[in-house]
Amino acid sequence: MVIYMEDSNATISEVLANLQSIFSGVESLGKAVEFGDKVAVPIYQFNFGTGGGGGGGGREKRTNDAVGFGLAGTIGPVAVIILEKDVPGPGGIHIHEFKANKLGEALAELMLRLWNMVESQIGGRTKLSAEKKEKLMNI
Amino acid sequence: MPQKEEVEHLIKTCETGKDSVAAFSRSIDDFSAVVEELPAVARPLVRRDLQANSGMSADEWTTFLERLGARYGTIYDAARGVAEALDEANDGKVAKATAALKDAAAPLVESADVAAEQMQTMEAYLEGLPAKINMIPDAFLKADAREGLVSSMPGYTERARAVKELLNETKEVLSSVIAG
Repeated sequence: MVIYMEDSNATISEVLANLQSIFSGVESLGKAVEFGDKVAVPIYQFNFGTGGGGGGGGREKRTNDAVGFGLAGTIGPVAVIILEKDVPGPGGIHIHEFKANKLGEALAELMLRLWNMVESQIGGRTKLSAEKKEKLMNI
Repeated sequence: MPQKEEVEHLIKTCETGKDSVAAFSRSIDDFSAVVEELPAVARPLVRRDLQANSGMSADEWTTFLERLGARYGTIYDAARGVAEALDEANDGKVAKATAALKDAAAPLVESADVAAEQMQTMEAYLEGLPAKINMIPDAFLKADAREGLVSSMPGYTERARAVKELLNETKEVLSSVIAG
């Protein structure tokens, strides 16, 4: 995409920066797929890249300045979580990564959701009432 | 008027209480330090598991134990005041020191049952924790990190139990000293 304009580099830079911050390195959960005694949850990673440039040319009194930018992206599965329905607890959760990557905290957040699902099935949570906690903190 | 033996017993209980609370607090700190070294994927899981099953986060446990340790210190000082007053055989001074002890001990007396119950919950959680950690699949926690976490916990259960038992004992001794 090429846009002819003057003195708009700042605006374009701002737009590009915003686009990059919104789209770059986003991980997302795909739709869960059930097969037999297992549930598979794919994880996708969105990689968007942007670029821009400008130039000038033409002859004296007939200049021809232009700036342009491009946006391209890829979306690909990076891992799949397999949940075994018949295996309670964390032993029933497996992660298969498709390639080396650092999903880091995003994957950890996903794991927490899975952990909560497992915990809700096996129980064991200890709720401490606000009243009791206040007593403990003021002992 | 409180008996000298009872006050001495209370002083000793407070000394042991301060030490036990400090020891368990160090255990929580050590555990937190090991958890901080875990891979990013496993770290929040372990933190969340502690909070979900012991009722409080590591930071909340630290705050609670700091307050409990400080409370033992306050009661210890007040009990020493009663012991000194008893040595002087000054009834007025004994009454005043006993009233000060009662004030100092009030928050612990009020919360001792809840605190002991919470220590019981923590004790049960810690007892089952090594087995639970060993169940975590490699995808979450590599074998060496798992072993490091488990080996960082010797004596944790016993320390939690010691604090719980001391809380019950302290409440009992305090009751007889203050009532006496």
